[in-house]
Amino acid sequence: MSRHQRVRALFLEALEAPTAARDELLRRQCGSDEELRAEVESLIQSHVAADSFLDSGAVAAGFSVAEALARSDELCVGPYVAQALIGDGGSSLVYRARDSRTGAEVALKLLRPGALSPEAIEELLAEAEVLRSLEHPGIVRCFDSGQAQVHGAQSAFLAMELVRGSTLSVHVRSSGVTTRETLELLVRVARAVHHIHERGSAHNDLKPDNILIDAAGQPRIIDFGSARRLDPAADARRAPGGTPRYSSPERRRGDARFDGVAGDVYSLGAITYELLTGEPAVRDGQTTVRANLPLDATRTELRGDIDIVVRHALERDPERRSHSAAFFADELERCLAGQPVLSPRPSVYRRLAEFGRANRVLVGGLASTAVALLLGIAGTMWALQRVREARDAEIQQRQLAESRLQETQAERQRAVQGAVFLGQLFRAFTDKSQAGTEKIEKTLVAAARSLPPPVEGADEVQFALHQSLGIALADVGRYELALEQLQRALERCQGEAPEQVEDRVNLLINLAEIHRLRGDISSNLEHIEQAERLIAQHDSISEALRMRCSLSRIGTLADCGDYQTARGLIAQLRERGDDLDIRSSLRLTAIEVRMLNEERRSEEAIEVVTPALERSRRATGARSEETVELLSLLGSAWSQSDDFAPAEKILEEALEERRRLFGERHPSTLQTMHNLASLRARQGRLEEALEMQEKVAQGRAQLLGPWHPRTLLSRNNYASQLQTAGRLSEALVELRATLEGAKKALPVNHWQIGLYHRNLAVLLQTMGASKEAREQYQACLAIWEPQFRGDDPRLADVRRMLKLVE
Amino acid sequence: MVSPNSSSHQSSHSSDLYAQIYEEVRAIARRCMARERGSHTLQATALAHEAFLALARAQEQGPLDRSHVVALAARAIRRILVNHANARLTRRRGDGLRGEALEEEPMASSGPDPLELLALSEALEELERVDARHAQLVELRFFGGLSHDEIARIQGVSPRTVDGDWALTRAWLHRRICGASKTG
Repeated sequence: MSRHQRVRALFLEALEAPTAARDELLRRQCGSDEELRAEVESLIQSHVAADSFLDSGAVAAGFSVAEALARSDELCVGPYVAQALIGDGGSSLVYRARDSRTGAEVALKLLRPGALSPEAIEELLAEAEVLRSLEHPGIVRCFDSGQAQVHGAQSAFLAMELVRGSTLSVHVRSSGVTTRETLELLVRVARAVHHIHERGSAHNDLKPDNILIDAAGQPRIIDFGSARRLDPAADARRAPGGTPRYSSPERRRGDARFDGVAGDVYSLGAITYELLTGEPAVRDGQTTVRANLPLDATRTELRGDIDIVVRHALERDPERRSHSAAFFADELERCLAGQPVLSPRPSVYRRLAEFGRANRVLVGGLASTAVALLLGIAGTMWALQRVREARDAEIQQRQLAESRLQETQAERQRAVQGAVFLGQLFRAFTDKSQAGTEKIEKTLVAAARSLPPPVEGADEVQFALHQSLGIALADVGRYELALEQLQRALERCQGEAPEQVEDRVNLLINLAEIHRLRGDISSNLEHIEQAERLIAQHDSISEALRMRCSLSRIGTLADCGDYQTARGLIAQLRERGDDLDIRSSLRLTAIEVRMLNEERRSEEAIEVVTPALERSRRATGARSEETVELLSLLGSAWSQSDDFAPAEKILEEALEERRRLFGERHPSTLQTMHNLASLRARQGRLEEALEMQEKVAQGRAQLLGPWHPRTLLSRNNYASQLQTAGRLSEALVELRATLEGAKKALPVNHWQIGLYHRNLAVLLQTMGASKEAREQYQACLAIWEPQFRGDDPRLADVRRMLKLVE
Repeated sequence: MVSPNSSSHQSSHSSDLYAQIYEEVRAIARRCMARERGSHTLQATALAHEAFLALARAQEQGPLDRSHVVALAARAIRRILVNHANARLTRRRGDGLRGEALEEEPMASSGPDPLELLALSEALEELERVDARHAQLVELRFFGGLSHDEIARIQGVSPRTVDGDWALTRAWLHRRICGASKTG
């Protein structure tokens, strides 16, 4: 017997005993167990004090869950006895019910008890009225309706035929339904919808869940809760909301001129699109239909122009949409029969224009034009492939196909030109975008995902597309996707013609630069070396491209801390004097200044950067990428020489410009923010510094991953600011985590690991942990000494501090 | 009409079922609160209806022990009342006592003081660790409004055992919530 059980037994025994005898009883039973006796006595006292404690229920006097269950088991409405809940439609519930007069089973729709109102009752009765006006094998039948008392409250009911079956989407998803069969079902659904329209109503909420497939395989439209009479005088905005995923754009906007027929046709198109592709046609309130339907299955089974038909039903403009559900049904039948369809075939340029119009709000003018072009080109390639297939299969409409082939080949020429133009556009809009980076990014990602599979013989188009997209994606910081796109471009660019080799070198440098931004030095080097090999093999490669490759190499050397080699290469390039174009020259200076800053030679840095900044302003403009980069470097230099006033002004300006140029999350923006945070810390504005540095660390963790060298560096700075703020134990935790992460993520003996050892040592020294500090200094020196020049000031620093601790 | 895939839910665990019942009960409670302030009848109707929904849904998922559903519904009611009490208290702390009367809502106005309810809930959590059957008893009796006979059936014990459990549990809770009364 557990203690609790023993307490219970004694407690009950004592309660039964007369009050006077309790003490004696407990003494006897408990023996020497004083604790047990005290426990039972205490409970008995509480029992007496409890009186009526908890006697009345929490909900209401007389309420009982069991009784409620029993009562609701007999939910009777008129002659109908509800048996089970089978559907839940927001303000109403649908039960399977028995008609007590005939024993037949019906579907009984009732208002939710919590949603009773005269308007709700009226709406349910209106639904019954619409249903009774219809008579079609594709539409559920209504038997009875009226007002009734339900659980003592005035309500209304609607008794309908009980359809046993699954919903359209479940039916189609279940195995064995072919695309052809799906389309045949949709033809019947469309005919039933047309019947609704002919009888002067619109359903207004067509979706796969509102279409059941009965035991005989016949589709049945249910749930007319949003159905309304087609009354031109009525303000359609008062029509109850449909399901956004299947609603037409004018409906989603709440347009007063909303037309029920056009709306239902759009829903039919959306249902068809979704059933065929497995993707919704409307997402986040936007029609996201692809330029080509990804109809892998359909492509093999059907030769018809199903995509054209579906797109016609999904026209944004109701005036241009398929004019009736019957027409849509006819078109589907033509597809099934392999006959030419009547829906207008949109030209590439019309699609471009439309896409651009539709997405103007989303991405801003230039971006939308570019993306429109992209999708249009993708569509052209798709059309080309389809025509080829059609021809290969020797279908009856051979002639039609031939004429279309000619048409598309002409379009293809234009497509190549378009893709090249596109590349320029992408650069233009990503460079000039402001806060819209995220939206643009979203659009680009979507565009990347909707590129069609490779088409034979269209390599040049595909190359241009992938390259443009890749560069644009890199500009918005989506490196993984960018690498994927550029890699694909590279695969489409393997020829030996001089232009193709140049393209290849360019691509390799782009790939290398992205790897560098990600801190993946070995991949970066691999690509640079590939580019250098190509350059060595081909004399035809232009001077500008050679320079680009050298700049990339020097940047990497600086990143790796090999300043000596980097400086040697810079000197070599400078010897060429006039051959060196101004932008390249400025970039070289920027790398030089960065190295000086790293070496804490801030006075020299200021000396070099100040005239370069002037030149840059004159030659490239006050807000060019080059100018802003030099500005940011000058800010850091001032900041390091503890000249706070100019440093603050310059860094703030640089940050603002970088936000404008690249957006909030770009590595360069984060870099400047990082520098400004360091300055704030030195100025003693710790709160601001901490906040900013945390933002940088988060941004980098998000952009580059939690163990990326730059992320680690931000965490390191965050820690050192915590230290400055006197929050030593927090700083210690952060720094230890940074060091551990660095050891795991970085190559053995990476200079950053040395840095974290050193910083940890300084912190430990401050906290009085001399022994551990010493160990950390030594670990730092073990990494730095073989890598740094003997007179590197960082080495001297560490040696000095190590002496202090010893 | 038949709800699709009725057979595919057979593997549902009771926690899913509970989540479903809870959601239902809560949804109705919210609607009731928004509509009718202080009307006890509507609230009782709503809860009755909720219980029905719970049962109906449970049955859709295959044969289900009725007492199980009752127990789950009682638990749902407990959680709703406790959440509601929490919300009321938060508001009270925010606004001071002024205006509180206007914020009163039907679910809790007929029940105990929110502070008491929260204290009870905390005590119940502790009791669950000591003796789960006793804790369930409180749920069924206090929140579910069930009689001792019904509780005995659900718990598979004799009504006399329930009587004894209740006496002990009530004393235990009273001591835990109101403190030990003076000795002697």
